[in-house]
Amino acid sequence: MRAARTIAAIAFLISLEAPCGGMALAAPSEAHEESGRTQRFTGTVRSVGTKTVDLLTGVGHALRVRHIELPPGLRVNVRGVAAMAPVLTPGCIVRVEVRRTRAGMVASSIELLQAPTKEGRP
Amino acid sequence: MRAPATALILLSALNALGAAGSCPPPPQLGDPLRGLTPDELGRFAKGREVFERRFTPETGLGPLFNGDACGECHENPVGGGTGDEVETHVAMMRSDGVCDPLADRGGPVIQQHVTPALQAALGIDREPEPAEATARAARTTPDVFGFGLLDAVPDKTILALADPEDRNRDGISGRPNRFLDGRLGRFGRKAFVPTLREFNQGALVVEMGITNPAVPTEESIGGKSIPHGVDPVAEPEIDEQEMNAVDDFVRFLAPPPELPLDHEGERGRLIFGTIGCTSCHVPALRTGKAAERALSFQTVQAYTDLLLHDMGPERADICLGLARPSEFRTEPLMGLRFVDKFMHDGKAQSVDEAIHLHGGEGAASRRRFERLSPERRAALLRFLKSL
Repeated sequence: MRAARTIAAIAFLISLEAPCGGMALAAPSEAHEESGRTQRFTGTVRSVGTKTVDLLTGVGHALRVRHIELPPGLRVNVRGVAAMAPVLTPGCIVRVEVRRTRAGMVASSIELLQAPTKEGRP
Repeated sequence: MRAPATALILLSALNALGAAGSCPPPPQLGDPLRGLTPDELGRFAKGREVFERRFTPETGLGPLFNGDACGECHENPVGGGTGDEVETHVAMMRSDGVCDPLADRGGPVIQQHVTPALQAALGIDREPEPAEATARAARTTPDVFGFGLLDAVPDKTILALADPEDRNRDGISGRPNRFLDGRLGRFGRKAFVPTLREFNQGALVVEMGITNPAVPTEESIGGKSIPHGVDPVAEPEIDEQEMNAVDDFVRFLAPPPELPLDHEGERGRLIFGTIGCTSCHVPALRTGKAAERALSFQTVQAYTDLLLHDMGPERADICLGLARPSEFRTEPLMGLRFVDKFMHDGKAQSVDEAIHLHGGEGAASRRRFERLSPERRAALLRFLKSL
């Protein structure tokens, strides 16, 4: 019990230091994010379809568009609250975990890190 | 009497030797930073080899590329310097206000050369520019001296210089750019890229077509896949050790030494401040704690704030990240005396002409410059040519 409290306290303290709703933003690297057939991307939503999202990611000026399918029922984690996919709009910064299938990439989780700001949209 | 005199001479000689040992001459252009460990110096030397290496299609070059070596473009007057190549970037400003760098159409960097195999397969001699582009930008080759120090400047230092609402009403409203994942940007003419390492990793692919562990996929050809058999080298085309080495070389390059100033130059330095240039071209930034001691808690006289500023509609080209078409990162002025094409697009042939091309937030300083007497203007230019 005590160990669990300590871990929770450390996690809370780490979250206070991290930007974007407590999510630390690691430097992107396509290969380093890969784990088996699961990959994680952090990027900017370029466009949203009824069942898909196009995510813009990159390293330096080497930019890539990830076409990701959103399975029915997938909720978007918005600061710990589950929301429907329409919360996503172009310019949102999100973290997506995807499974690679023969048909392409399918999201298994998606988290909104930052909504578009008034400063402008990427 | 003779013994004390001899002792004094010996002591003076030892002092001189000691002073020479603790205060070596400043690094010259292309030299590594002072204070690197033997291991770091070894990494710098290894990285220089990779930086200067000429790649061929058989060793991974292309199939699209702008140059066949880092040192092909960054060459003047030594490796890491400027170059005469001017490349093309594109983007589309969408009607909904979203800046699209056209990554699925081959953007934002459009490569100017192709390998013979790609030419044979598609009959093209450069990457086609996407029809969707609403803007096109020319980008000169900057030098990269001292960029490791810029990388080590803490985010909070840059953010403290920002004044997006121009609260102090000085007409200067620098604001930060952000990368796709929300991190603060600082490298590239639009301050889009957060770290030097990522800039280098990306540049290996977009400038030379050299895939690496961080970017293991080639650029598309205007959005289309590379034809089968055109790129015979397995990805990644350089391994982590070589990727790290080239990053180390760039990171450890010392800033160019400033030339000593005479009285006129010193006067020019003061004028640079009084006409408002230092509002954006901040003379010095302080690094924070870095992995390498030589980069930690150093002062870099870069003459930049690493922020975006509006340069006026006449200079506008592409958007990138949060940067609007007319916004550009304050260009570092260290190494200015080695530059022969000025401004981000190379439009100016001299420092004097570059100042005349400052619009937007730079317009007030430009007008003050234009009102200077010929003597004061010459003093300012003398100072700038010492950087």
